[in-house]
Amino acid sequence: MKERNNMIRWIIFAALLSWAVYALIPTYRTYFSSEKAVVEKIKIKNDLIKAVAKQERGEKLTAIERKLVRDYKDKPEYLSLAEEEIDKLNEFEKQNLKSLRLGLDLQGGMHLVLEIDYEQLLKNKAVKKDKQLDDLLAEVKSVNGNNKEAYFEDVQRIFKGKNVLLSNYFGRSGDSNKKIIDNLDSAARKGIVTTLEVLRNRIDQFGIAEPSIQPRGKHRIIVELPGVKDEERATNLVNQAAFLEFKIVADNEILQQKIDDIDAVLKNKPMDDQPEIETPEAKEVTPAEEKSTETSETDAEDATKLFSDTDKDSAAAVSDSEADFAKNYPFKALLTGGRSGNILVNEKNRLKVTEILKNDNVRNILGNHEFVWKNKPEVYNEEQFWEIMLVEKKAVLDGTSIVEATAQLSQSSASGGWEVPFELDRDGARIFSEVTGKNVGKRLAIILDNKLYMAPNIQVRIPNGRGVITLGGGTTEEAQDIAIVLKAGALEAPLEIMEKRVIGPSLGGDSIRSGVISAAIGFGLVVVFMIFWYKLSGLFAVIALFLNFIFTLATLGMFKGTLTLPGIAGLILTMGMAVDANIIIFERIKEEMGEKNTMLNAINAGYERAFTTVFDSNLTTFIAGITLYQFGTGAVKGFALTLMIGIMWSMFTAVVVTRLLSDLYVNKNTKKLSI
Amino acid sequence: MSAKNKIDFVGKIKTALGLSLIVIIVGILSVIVQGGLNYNIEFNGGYLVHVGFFEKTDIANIRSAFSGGDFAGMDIQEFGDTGSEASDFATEVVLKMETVADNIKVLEEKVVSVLNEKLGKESFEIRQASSIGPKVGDELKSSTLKAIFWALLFILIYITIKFRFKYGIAAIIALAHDVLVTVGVLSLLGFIMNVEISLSVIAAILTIVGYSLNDTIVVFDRIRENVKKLEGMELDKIINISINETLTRTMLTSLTTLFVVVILFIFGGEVIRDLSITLLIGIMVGTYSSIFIASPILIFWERSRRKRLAKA
Repeated sequence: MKERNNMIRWIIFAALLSWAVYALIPTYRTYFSSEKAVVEKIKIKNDLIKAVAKQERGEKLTAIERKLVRDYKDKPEYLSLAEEEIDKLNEFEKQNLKSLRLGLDLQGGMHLVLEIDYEQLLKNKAVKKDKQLDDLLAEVKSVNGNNKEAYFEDVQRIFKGKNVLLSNYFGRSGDSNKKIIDNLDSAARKGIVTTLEVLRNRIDQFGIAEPSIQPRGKHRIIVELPGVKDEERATNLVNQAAFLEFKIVADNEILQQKIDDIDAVLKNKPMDDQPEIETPEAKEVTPAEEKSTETSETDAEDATKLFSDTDKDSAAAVSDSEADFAKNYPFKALLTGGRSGNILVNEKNRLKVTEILKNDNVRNILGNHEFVWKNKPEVYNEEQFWEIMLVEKKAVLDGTSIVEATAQLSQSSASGGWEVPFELDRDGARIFSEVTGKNVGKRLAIILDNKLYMAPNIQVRIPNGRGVITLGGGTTEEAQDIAIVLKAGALEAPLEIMEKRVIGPSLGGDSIRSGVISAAIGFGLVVVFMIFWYKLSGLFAVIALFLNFIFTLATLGMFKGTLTLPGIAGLILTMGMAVDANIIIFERIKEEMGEKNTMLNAINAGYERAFTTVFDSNLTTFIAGITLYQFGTGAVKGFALTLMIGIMWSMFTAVVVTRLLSDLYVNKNTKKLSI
Repeated sequence: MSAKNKIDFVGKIKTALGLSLIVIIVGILSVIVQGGLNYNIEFNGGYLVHVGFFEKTDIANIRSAFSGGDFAGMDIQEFGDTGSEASDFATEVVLKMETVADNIKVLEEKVVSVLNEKLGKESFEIRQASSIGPKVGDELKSSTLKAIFWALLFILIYITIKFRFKYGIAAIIALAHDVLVTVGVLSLLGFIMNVEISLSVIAAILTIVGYSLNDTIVVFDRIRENVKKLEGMELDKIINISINETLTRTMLTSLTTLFVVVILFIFGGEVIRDLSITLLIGIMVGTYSSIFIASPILIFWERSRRKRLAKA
């Protein structure tokens, strides 16, 4: 038989091999070269210096930062960072981007599955916001469970069942139900797109290397943040709606009227779930500063009248009247007057007040107004108090027109702390100017995600669309995060976290170690067996197997695939499977040789006849791999991917490469090939 | 040729089917006795936290720290690789709670505060934490079934095209057999060790579905070849010859794969233990079914066809 001309095959093979080696160089440098240790050290230095600076500013450190400081504080060589070290770090990080990435389970990080909160979305979209809408949507929620697919059908059905026209709340009056539902549905779809964009913006600014933010299906978003260290901060950043609103604060007369009305209604119609009101001890701890009120005469008078504060020393004497008071003024009894006539709620009473404010009758009374809670509590006498403020329900302006926001240390305020100056676009500035002009003398509440940050007095019209949010204390991160979310834009609606996985970095290290050990031993065993059983041919198969390994890793890198622990398992499994093709071929060759063919003929026949078998059998595993890839998430996808890539290459290495090698051997030596 | 025709596999078909049936029934009984399959939180929804303690910590202390109240129904297990040289941790535990999603955040905070208070701040590190809403789990169950269904369907179509419909059916029956036996054995293993149906296990089962077919196809291929070559011979005999001819390669291919899976099972660590044990069982079962189940089914098919022809 004529010799096969293998020239083209060799060229293809050489080209592929050089490609694979080239593709793997960054990976080698990132994970295995001696540079790695050097860079690790620079990284520690970098983090340590940051943490120490933070500590000096008096900010709270995360657990990891604390550990870092603890471990390296006594090593002064870690506290300086040279210019060229920073360059080195940057260069290495660039390299890192081209290398094979490790999955979250190997390098640690956070995996989130998010869905848009449809109920809140509808509430945001509604032109009229009232109790009936809340009730209807609550009913939809209970019927719907959490089946986003059927959500709008359920909305339509529930509204119809209650004889409420959808057009009362959404779209224009006279719009057909179908049209409104279609519009809402497309708003929800658009919501996913804008949410993705907003999240990408935020996370980019947050500075995480290689985040992945992907839609999954129609309703879901998967966020993967590798190497993220501060889990809570990252969760907040992703999950914060960042809905900024400006609302006019209600006048004092209205406030008093509403409180009295609420008390009247609660007294006559106690709530079903009557809150435990008799908490005289809560009343005792009025803030000490309260007596030295700084507010106007009338305010102070009102406050006293309102809250009938008791002096501590007479507390015991009035405890009976306390109980009476609580009975007659169930709402007022839970409130405490603050320093400047503001209303505070003791942490202990917070839940009860929240319950009362949710009560139907109370909401009816509040009408166009609502109470908002302050973003953080104030501490008096080691107890926490939360401010609540009555504001108009309708926002005069929202945060969509913010074009710039930064975090800076407060210069003006005596208390120091962080503040976030912001700037509105032209339209926003115009509205802002109008609103401030119309409401001089009133207070403007700045509300972020339903939490009150501040409510400055409007002294003059503000024409330039610039303002400041004062955080009052807070950390650098907090201020930065608020600036980020304001600038990156608000979410259409809050997100619900369906699934959250956090993997610490140490677990990944252990996994990598056991993965590498298993791979090494597994490979060793297969090598020994193949050479023992098939002699020289076995060696060829082993070479092919090794190449298969390299090709698979290179391809994985090319597809921007990540290596997960199941992925490593897939890789190891493929090593076992890849030699299968060679076993099938070699056994066939043995058979052909038994039928008195020449060596060359036997090899040719063996490869040709076995090829269909090898192809068919590998294809079915490949099919299973595809299904697995379609259905799996994260780590399992990694397994499916390595399995598929590995099988694909095993066809090439087992069929083409081993054949090239054995042809080379047989042609050059015209010897008998041991098999 | 006759030298190779040593073992009468076709003759043992009834014994083989009987054996498989018994294993499957025992497996099903085991599932029933244990009140269903032991799904992990990925499927049921819930909260899992994996904590590593730097000092040796008595698991009883941890149990008592988390007894009652908010933690009713919490499952606390020691994590396998504990105390090995490589690990930074003296004791590792996994706390698991199957719970409704609403209060997972609260639960998370409570767990951390209990750890801080009762076992000492900074005496531990949270190595991993997951919280999964029940809805995600429900969806996963249905998409798992879908994935297995589609895998089987595509395989059936492919084999029908490449071979014939009856081969496809035989292959599918063998695969269904592999899945049932594997799941049954996993459930039985639940009596002696903790094996949960996790995503990894499903991944392993789907892999088996693909891989077990490799051997089956090698045999089918040979049967097809021999049907042409040995025209006129009875199917029973052809099948027996084919199985025997390909026996070495069936055994060897499974053997090399088993090598690496055993290594994975021993050295791969606790995190992928469920994956590797499922692969281990599945590959053995798959090899068995390629020899004893898939091809003999063809004979049943052939016999019933002949009976029908005879009646007609």
